Amino acid sequence: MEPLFTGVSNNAHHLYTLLSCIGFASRATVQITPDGLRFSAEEGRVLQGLAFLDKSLFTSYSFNASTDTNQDESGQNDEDSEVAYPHFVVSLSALLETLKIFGINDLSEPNGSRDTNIPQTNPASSAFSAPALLMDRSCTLQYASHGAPLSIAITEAGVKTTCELVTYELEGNESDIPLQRDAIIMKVIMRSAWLHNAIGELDSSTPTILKLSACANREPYFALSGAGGPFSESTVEFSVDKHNEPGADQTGLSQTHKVLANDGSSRARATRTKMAPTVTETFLVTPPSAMGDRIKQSYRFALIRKAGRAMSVANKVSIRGDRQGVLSLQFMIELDDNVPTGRPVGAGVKAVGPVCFVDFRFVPLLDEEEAEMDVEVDDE
Amino acid sequence: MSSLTLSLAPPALVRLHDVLICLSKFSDTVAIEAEHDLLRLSALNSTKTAFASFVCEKEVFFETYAFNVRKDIRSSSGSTAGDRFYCQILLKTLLSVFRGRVDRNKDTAVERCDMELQEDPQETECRLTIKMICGLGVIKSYKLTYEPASIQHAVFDKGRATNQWTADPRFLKQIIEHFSLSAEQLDIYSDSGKAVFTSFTTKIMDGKEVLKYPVHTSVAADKRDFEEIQIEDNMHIAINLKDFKAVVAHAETANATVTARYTQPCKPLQLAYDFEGVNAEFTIMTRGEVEGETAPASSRVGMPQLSQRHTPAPISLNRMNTPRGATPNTQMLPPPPRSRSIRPLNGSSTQEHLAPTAVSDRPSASSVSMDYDSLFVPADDDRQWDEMDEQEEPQDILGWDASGRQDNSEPTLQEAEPDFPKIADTRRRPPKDEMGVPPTQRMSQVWEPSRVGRVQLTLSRFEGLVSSIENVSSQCFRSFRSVRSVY
Amino acid sequence: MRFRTHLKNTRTFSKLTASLSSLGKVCWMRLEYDVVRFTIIPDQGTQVWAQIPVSTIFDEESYQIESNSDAINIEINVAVLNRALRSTFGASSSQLRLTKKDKMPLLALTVLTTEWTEGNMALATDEEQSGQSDVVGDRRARERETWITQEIPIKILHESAVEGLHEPHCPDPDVHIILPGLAQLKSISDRFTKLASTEKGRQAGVVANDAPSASAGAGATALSTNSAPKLELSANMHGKLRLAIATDELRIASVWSGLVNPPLDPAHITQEQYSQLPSERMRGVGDNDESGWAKVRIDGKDWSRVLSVGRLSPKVVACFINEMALVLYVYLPGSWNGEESCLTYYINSFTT
Repeated sequence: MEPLFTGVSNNAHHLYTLLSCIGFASRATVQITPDGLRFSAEEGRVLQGLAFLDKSLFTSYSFNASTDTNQDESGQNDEDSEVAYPHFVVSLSALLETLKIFGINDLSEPNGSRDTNIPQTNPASSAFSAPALLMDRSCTLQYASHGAPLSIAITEAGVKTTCELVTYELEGNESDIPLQRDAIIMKVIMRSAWLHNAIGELDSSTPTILKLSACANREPYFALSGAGGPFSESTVEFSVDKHNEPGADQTGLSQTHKVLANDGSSRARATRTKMAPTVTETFLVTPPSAMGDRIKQSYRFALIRKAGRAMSVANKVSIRGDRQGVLSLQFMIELDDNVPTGRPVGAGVKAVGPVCFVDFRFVPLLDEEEAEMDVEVDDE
Repeated sequence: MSSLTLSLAPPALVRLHDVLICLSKFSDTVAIEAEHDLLRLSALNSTKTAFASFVCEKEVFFETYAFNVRKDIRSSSGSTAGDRFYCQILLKTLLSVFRGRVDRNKDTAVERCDMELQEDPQETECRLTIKMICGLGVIKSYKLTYEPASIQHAVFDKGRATNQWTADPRFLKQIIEHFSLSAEQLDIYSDSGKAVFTSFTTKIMDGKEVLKYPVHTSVAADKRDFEEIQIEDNMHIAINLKDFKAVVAHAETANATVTARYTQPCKPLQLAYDFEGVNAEFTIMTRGEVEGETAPASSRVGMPQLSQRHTPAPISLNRMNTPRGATPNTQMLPPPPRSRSIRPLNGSSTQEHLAPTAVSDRPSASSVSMDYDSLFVPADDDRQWDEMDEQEEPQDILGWDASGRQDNSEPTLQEAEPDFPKIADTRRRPPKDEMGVPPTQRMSQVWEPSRVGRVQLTLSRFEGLVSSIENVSSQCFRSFRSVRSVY
Repeated sequence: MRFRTHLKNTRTFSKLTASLSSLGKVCWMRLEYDVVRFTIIPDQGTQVWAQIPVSTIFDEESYQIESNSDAINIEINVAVLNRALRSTFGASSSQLRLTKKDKMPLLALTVLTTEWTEGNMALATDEEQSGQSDVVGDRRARERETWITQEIPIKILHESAVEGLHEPHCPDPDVHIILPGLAQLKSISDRFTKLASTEKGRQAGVVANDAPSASAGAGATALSTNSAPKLELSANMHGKLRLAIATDELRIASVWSGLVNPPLDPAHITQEQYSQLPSERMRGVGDNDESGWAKVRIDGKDWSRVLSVGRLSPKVVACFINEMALVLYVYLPGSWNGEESCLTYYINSFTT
């Protein structure tokens, strides 16, 4: 019987990069759709990470949905359940380790034995020159039928590795953390590296809580702080960049903005009408009137930390919060590609690979006492 | 009331990080002392055999530096400004702030670092605020908790050093690289044109476990490889290799030439160098045979502790009242002559109160580096302490003692009390009920055996003590904004 | 008893000792007139018997050995020896000799380095020649002479103490094959071991793959060190090698093909014996027939330590004795007669 799904990639590294973003959990839920593979990892129903492997990441992608007889047992009512696509759980850590085997020669051979003058008696390694090696590698994902293992086959340099991951049925209700798209009260877009840097900075004081504070009309416009650490507290504030005067008093509101042209991620803004942190590309804060003019929300720092890999890999991040305090971090990842795909992507001038998205959602800390254990940062 | 504000340029930030890394190899905490023209960062190791000190000059190291001791108007006694402020901070905490300031995002790299430390009686916690002003309007700020400290300085008299050498740290590092990682001690001597560095380990070995015997490594370098070397031939001195490594590693990053000065075994050795407005000094106790036997293997004499100046924190303000010159804390005293009397391990020295951690840091401590001490040194571990302290005592006690103030006549512990209102809140308690005991001090330090009898500790007084402890810990510097507007 | 020699190829000597020390610290070193033997027999795990011609690591001209029994047997901590050998890198001469200090036998390594320096880094002193014998501050470029002495404690073993030590005897192999590049083999093996370890950690209730969380990571490590997973290594006489591992959650296998099954030396064996060899029988089994594979189960961690010999860039012949043992013949490069410098690893197969 023809396999239900077969996908061939000549760049397993792309798959690895995306999946490693949600590698905080040992297992992931996989859903096979005609458009790609949807991987979801979660922790305690308060953190969810979603990575979508678009079918464009595969050189060949064949999904024969009609042969699928599986009905989604969970009966969930979100938008994905209209058609019952294969839906199962696999070991994400094992999948990641397997994908890492791909390209192992690149890491271990450059100054290894292959270059030495020892007579190589191994025809497998001597027959391939470096360019040939690149052509010889491929990565095939296959799901033969409902209940079959998910198999990953990797071939390169005379070695063929096959990994069969046992697939498990979904445990109970696998619904997503709901983000109220019609009740978004905050949207901040900036380079992911800056968020990563800030979280890393806060992390050094080993905080337990991440506090987010955003306000459209007064400082601090956008600040992240770590609280609950044993010896120190730290805050990273994204403010309006002034003219770098040493000793400039940051409380004095300067109305001048630096116009940035670093990578096109910052642009000149109407300076007097709307104040926005310099690093942000989009800065929309519209709290409901009951909330006052400042949005404050707390999250478990340990959960935010789990998005660290995504932060370091992504180019941009969109930070969104809804009225309930659910935080969404949507990461845009531009995969580099040895072979230009010709896909027009963004405004980049150099050839870049496909653009993919990884989503994280966090449930806020609602326990008022816990959240307000230490409110110095936002006190005004 | 005191306040300290300073700012650092990115290069100094890197230097500061290097310094903190170095200090962390000696202790878990760094003592910070601010004076009007310098900032000293120092660390004394737990066995009190090594003291590391970095003095950063106001004019060179900092972009801006302002330290003020301001008179508290509510205080009845008139203290003059211009002394110093002490505190200590966990190095781990500071390192997390100053760790790798190499920012991959050049746009948001640190442009300036501002630090402020303020003494505010209204605050219950001591806070050091650090702000990293980065590009693109990113501001990273930290509030660190610190504690009042009893500052201790090692004593070393450069003028008396009879042996001296100066060398490039890269050369010293080349020597170190030959030593095994587990080697604990470093013996140094000179022999006809060669300077010999030998690593060894003093450990009692079970005769059957020959293979676990430590390797002796000796490196004989040409004296011409030193910039300067004047040392007595065949006199062995030994120091902890770990300390030496820490110094050399830092001197290398600072690109500064290291000078070693010492007199003889069992007297301190000092390693010193200067770089970019920082004066680094490491005072390290040596071991070895004073005369006669020279083999490093036999240098199993106990590692004496450094003699030191011990300054309980609150007393610093006392010193304001003493005549100038009566607070020579920044100078090293000459080491006093010393006999080699041997005492039993637990013979309590009368000066033990001056060594606050002496008991807990006894060689019985389980730390690996101490093992040999517990095996080899029990008898005379304390003897260095005793003699040094006998001379030191007047100095050390000065803080607790009368210094010519009119409101007290008896040189007892109580005399120190009236000073506390300067730093503690005078409104809440009458001065007489206060005792200045920094929380880091043990009671045994405060009461000398001979004086204990004179201080009757009633319950109410004890409460006073507790609250003054709280107060001392909250005494830091005052509001930053007003200070900032000054400059 | 006397032993003294200058060293040569100290990098090789150092790599050799590094590879040996990964299996065990206590090493029996036997100095003979023509060869030096290193043997490590750990309490558990792989044992290694190495035989190196004197000329591989020692300077034959200066090699002196005197002993009543024509050999000197030394017990030495090979990790310590390895560390000491680092001092020889870039040295102009290195000497190793047997000596005594305080009645303790030592192997003393004396190294002379004559680095060419740009003068020293004197700041103040000039080229003035003071009356002292030791002139310091000489800024002229010159050779810097530094003597380094490493004194390694050893035990001298009497001949009677080593009489009972013999290399293991093994049946004729079912399959013999030349291993692919050890670096690749090791990194895939390590990955498999890690895969199975994290599986184990998870089953014990530890959240696996949770690197940022220090406590969970430590827990997983602690668990995985208890007993490393067992890798299944198998090969056939048609140039194929397979490395596999299976857990509850996955089955993974890497297969190399096109490897060489080297012929055995016909000088040691008659044609008739040759055809009787188990490996020849195995050669007769078809490529795709599972019965043509010889299989062993080996400890992942131990295997990784064995493969650290890859740093010597050797040629490795693996001899499989089905379900019983794996014997590796590791030939060092550079020696004209590969047979002479050979490390033999004896690895027992675990039963399921």
